[in-house]
Amino acid sequence: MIEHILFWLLAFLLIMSALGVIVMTSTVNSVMCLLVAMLALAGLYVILGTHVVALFQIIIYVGAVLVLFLFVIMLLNLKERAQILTLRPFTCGAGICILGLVSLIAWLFRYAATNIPLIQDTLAVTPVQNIQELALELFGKHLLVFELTSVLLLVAAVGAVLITKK
Amino acid sequence: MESCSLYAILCLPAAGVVINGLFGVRFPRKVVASIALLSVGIPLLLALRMASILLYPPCGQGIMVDTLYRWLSGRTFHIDIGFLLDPLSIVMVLVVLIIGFIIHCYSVSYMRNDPGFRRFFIYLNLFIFFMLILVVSDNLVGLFVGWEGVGLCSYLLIGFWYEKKSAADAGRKAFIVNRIGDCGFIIGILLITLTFRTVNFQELNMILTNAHTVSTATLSLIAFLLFIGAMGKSAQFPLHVWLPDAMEGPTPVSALIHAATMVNAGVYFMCRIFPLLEQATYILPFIAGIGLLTAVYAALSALGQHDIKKILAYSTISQIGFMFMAVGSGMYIAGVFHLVTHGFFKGLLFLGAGAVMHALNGELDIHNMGGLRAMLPRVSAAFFLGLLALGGIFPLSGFFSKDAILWGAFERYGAFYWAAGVLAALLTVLYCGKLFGIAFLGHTRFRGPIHKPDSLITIPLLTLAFFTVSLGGLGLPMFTKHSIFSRLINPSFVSHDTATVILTPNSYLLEIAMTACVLVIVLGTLMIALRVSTTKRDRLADFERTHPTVVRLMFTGFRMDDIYELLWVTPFTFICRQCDRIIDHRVIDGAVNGLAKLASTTGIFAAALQTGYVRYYAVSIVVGMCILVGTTYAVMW
Amino acid sequence: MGMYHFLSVGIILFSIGLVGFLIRNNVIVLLLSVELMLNAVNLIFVVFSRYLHGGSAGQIYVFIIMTIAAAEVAVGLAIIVSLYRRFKTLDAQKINLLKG
Repeated sequence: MIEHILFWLLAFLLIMSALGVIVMTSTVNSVMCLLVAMLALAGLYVILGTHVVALFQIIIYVGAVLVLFLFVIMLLNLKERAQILTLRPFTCGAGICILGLVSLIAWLFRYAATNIPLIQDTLAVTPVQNIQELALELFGKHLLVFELTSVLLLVAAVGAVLITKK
Repeated sequence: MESCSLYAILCLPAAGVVINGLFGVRFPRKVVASIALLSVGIPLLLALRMASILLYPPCGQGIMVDTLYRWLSGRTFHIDIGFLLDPLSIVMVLVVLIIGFIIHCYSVSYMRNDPGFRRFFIYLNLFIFFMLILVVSDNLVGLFVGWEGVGLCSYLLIGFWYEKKSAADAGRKAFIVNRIGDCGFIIGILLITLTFRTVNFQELNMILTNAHTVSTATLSLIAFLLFIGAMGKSAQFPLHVWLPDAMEGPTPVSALIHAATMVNAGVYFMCRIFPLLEQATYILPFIAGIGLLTAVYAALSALGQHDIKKILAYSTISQIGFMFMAVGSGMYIAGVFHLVTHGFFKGLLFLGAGAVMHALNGELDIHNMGGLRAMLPRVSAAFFLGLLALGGIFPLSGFFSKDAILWGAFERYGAFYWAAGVLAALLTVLYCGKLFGIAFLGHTRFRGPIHKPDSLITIPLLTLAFFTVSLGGLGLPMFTKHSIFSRLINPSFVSHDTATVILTPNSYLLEIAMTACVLVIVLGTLMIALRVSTTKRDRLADFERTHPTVVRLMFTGFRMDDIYELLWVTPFTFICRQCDRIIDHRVIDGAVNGLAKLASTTGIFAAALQTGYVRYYAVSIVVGMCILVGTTYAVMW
Repeated sequence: MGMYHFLSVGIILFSIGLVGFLIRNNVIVLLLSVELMLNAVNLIFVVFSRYLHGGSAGQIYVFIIMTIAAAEVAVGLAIIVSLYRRFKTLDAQKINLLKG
């Protein structure tokens, strides 16, 4: 029962704060809205039963990415007020594309759902897989991807330093 | 053993070319010259030996055939590299090598001061090589290889002093006109291949003399095409225009190539395929007519020339016309005999002209010479002998051969033709007399120092003079068809019934009478010509002044060059210019430029997609994604 | 809560991120919209791993995506800093040096 309420609450919060991200005029306000969205999303992950992912969401996104955003914004020391809307044909075209895209994706999901068997149809609050099995799969079947991702992190770090070097 | 000698004869000139070509730059002139002389002299000795073996009894009268290599082989048809040495080939080989050797010796002295000394001998040796291939080859294709090769060497040697524009142009003209003849030749070879399935001379002659089903029309067409090739190479009307211009080359070249050997290739070729000519009924009269026409035309043109070499060039054209008259009358042996004698006395005349030029420091115009008899006694004696032979005066060699031709013409075509031939002979003797009278007799008009020729020039002259006089002996006994020469060469013409003519006393007497008549007329004309050109020169000048058009016509060879210029050169250059203007500039350049313009326009259009705005690119990503998802949607349906 | 609820939340989140990317000028907000889209994808991955047979592959992909997102944000912000130094503005409409 409580999951349903939590779900609707968190979903509403998520969408509202996402809208806030793209609507706010001040950059810092946008980042704050994104923070709220991340937290709501973590909650949704908990409802889904994948607590590990929720944890990582908070640690990585909220703890690292958003903080980095704030650092950079303050570093740049912006004074101006950002503008929201732009050229009209652009916006209309964008709107049409998005409508089309979204409807296609929704249809695809429906097709997948009706033709692919599900495990179960309802929620469970207990974690579906514990962290031990997850770790075994990550470092077992997907070891190569893991290693490559670490290389990618190194590349990103070096690249970031290089780009901002004077 | 004999085939070894044959290959040695062929390879030694080629070896001379290679050695002089690769290493000659480092050798001093003496070594270059000795290599060249050896590469012609040794083959000459070998050829003499082979001739003595093959031509004289008891093992004589032989024909040697040797096949080296199968070049092309099809199912029913093949072409070999092979050699045929019958008396005709041996005679030609001897002519080429003897005259070639003599001219090599002459050139050592003549070209002494020329910077292109080594190049000259390379080209000469190359020419000897190709000419030998031409005459000993046993099939049409091998002969054609030699044909093309001598054409190439002729081009190289005419344009030897290529920095002079007139020489380069003359070389080009020779090659192009030759090529026109070669077109006919090649088509003729193709037709022969189609009709007879072989190109071998012996096989062809066998097919033609036995029963076959080829129509006369086809044979006439083939013979006509091959004769066009012969016309181009042997400078007959109308493909003769290159020979006067070919005098731009050095004098030894003119002597060797354009008097003694290359221009005879056409006559030799016609003799080789004589069974074909016999059976192509319309061709023999045509050949005889062309020969006659050329003889008269060239003799008239020679009368109007001032340049000593050009006179001799037109004289060559005229004499080869006589040879073709012989071929056209069926007197092949007489034609070949005239070929041999003409080679020697025309070579002599050209070398004499070269000696005169050398002595007078390059002077060519006979009206600027005179009284050379006193200044250059030996040269002018040799020259006079050559002119007498050219005129056909007894007892020199020219007399025997020319009279055999005239008699054969009378037998076949009647009195009118014979009279035209006599006219040609008269004109010949007229220009001979004029030449000798103006250049050698009288008092000198030449200002400047005289350079006496050295022994390396006079000895070849005297050798050739000796041959000129003595070769007449081969024509004895005359008035029968059994002269020494014809007995030598008869095996080549076995199917031709030269030996079975019945001599009635009437025909015998008629022949003697006509010959004597001609001789008297000729001698008389010579006397007149000599007298006019020495003492009555002012009358000559008056005549020329009052008839300027005639003189002009004769000088320019009846304006053949202008006619050709109008007929072929101008339209051709016009077409080329139009092609250049329209096709080259508009079509091709337009296509290429248009292609480039298309690429750049496409690029400009495509560049409009790159606006530089990030969000624009994002829209294109979204559009692409829509298309992708939509395609998946469509596929799944 | 069925799968469709979560899926529709994910789709809406994605489209909000997309719209934001297309209509805003400020480059930092562009980056934020990209983050939104990435999170939406994460959600959908987790939903599919939770509701369909496939083991926990979906969650593992989510880890990878998070890592990559973090790296990408780092590099993106470095670029933004350089951009600001060069153009003294953060307006995407004013930066078109790559115009072909």
